[in-house]
Amino acid sequence: MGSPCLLYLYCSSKEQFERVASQSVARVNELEAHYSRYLADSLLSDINSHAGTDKRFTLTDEFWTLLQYANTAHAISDGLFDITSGVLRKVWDFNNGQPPAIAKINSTLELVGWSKIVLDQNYFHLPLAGMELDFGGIVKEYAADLVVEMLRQSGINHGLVDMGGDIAVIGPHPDNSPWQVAISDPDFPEQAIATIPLMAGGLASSGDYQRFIVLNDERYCHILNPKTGWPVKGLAAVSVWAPQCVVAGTVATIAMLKGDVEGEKWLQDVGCNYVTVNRSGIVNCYPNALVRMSSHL
Amino acid sequence: MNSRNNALALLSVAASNILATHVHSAQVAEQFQFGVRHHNYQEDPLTEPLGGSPERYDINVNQFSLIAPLSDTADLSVSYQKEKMSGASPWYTLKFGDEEPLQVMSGASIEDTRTDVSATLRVIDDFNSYGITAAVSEEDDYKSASFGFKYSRETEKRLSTWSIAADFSNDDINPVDADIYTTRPMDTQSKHSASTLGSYSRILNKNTLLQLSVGLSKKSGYLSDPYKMVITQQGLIGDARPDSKISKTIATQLRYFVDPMDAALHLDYRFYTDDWSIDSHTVDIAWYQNLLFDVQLIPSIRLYSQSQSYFYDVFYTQERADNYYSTDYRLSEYGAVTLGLKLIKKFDSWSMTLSADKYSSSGDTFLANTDVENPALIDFTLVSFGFDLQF
Repeated sequence: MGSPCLLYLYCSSKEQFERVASQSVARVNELEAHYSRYLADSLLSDINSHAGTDKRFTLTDEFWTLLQYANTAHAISDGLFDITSGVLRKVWDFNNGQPPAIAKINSTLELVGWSKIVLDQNYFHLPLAGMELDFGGIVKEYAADLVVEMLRQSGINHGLVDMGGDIAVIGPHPDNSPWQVAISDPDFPEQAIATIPLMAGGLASSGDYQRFIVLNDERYCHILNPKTGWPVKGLAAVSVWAPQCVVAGTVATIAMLKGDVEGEKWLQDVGCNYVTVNRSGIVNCYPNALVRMSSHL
Repeated sequence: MNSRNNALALLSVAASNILATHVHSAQVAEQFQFGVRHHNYQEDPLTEPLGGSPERYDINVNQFSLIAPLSDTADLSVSYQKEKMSGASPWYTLKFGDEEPLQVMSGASIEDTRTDVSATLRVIDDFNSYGITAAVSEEDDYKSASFGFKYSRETEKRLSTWSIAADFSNDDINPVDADIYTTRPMDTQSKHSASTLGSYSRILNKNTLLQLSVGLSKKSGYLSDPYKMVITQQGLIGDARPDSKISKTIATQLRYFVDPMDAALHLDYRFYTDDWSIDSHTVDIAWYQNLLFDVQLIPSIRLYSQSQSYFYDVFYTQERADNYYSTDYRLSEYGAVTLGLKLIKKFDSWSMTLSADKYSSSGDTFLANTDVENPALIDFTLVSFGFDLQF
């Protein structure tokens, strides 16, 4: 999954832990083998490498429902959440501090566009050579939900699954107290800016603390707008709670894509629980009782 | 709900659909599961029996079950049950003038042992589940063999399941003491049964599951009770019923999980009708309450009532042209209430179950409203305890 994945489980025995942990790892590895864009032999890489050719793919039900999910996310975000936008990352070098040539961005934008894809489970293909699907904003969060569901079916009632910062909760601690999940400060990622108590559901975060670019003294985050091809001047960090981790992840990503003011407003309209940090370091959250601010603020 | 909130709902549904494609609701057992149960079933004595013994059946049952995983896609379930019964059973009714009818009982000498063995092989292949079951049952005077199969298919999103099942059985009855009681058949009598059940279950949302089912069953052969008798104008004769019966059932089951209470409501209704003109209604309500320390407490209530069969009478004063006679309380109009309480405590790899049910019946319980109640209607108490182990 490209990031550390952690399981915190209350098990009745070491044997039970080892059994359920190995089942979880096996299932996550299976997801990676199907949907990773980094693995050359994944099903996703196969589809991407045959973009623009005559090859057609029959998709599994899981793949198909992931695409349906991406389709819903695209529709409700007015086209901002677009799993074909990953190809734009190839033209942006966040280490060099310079934007790419406008012509390069524009030619790459030709390869972006969810609406260019015909959704057909038995005859699927990407119509243009160079087009790519990227499940980066979905599969890790889905994996957290899936592992939680598998663990529940194995009889585990208390635990937390952390897929590289995307979190899904099986249930609270055995004494019914919540898990305390810390949110990183965008400017000092090793420090917590707030702590969220979690009893159930999923928590996903998006932010510019890992990768960003400063252009004309303005900081742009690594999230790229599929309509302009440019990074967004978004919020510094967004964390969203939703009953499913995958939904939390999508809502957080859309809020980042919408930018500072619009993103905050959109989160309020959606009506889910969130914490945002804007570029001035101002923390907003809903509901207020959700979050315990860290003392240094 | 505004349009943005609607957006969140749309995302949540799409997310549920992805999970539904993966999480198999039908799964084969991953571990060996062993279960033991002991049941004590005790019928209350009759208050005013005539002759014989007022003590009715006392039945002790020991059950053992084992589910063994065979591979990733198959498992085998085996169960064994030994039942010991003793007590008296209703023989025939008497009625003097306008007085209430009286029940004449057998002596309390009835003692019998019954053994049941059954095995089910289940194979699961992605959306499909196939099962075959074979079972035998034996008593001193009774042998039964049955065979059944079941096929279930889940829809692509695994939100609904269709299933169809069929069962066939053959029973041979060889009444004891047929040389003493002329009302009992001398030869072995047989009955055959074929039944089929179709059902559809659907997850309506994350908290609600609904199942609908319809069943059709045909029994033929010797359907009378060889130990029951009837006083008619011709004297004392054996219980005599038609040699075929066709029954139909329609049933619905609702499961609703109540999040804030960490509990589940089970609500079931079943309607049964047959060509002996018995219609019955059964309502089951149970509340599965999860408590601290992995304890589950399940209070339940069952309401039942039925109409009488067309040839039943509590006492016959006239001859019947069709020659069918039975005073069996199970063919009379009556209703019953069962109050139950069950406790399950889970430990690391095993669990303990303790339950008690109190059943009482009468001629005017639930929807039943009969003028003359059958004097043999029963009340009973069922107490069970057992253990389940996974290894």
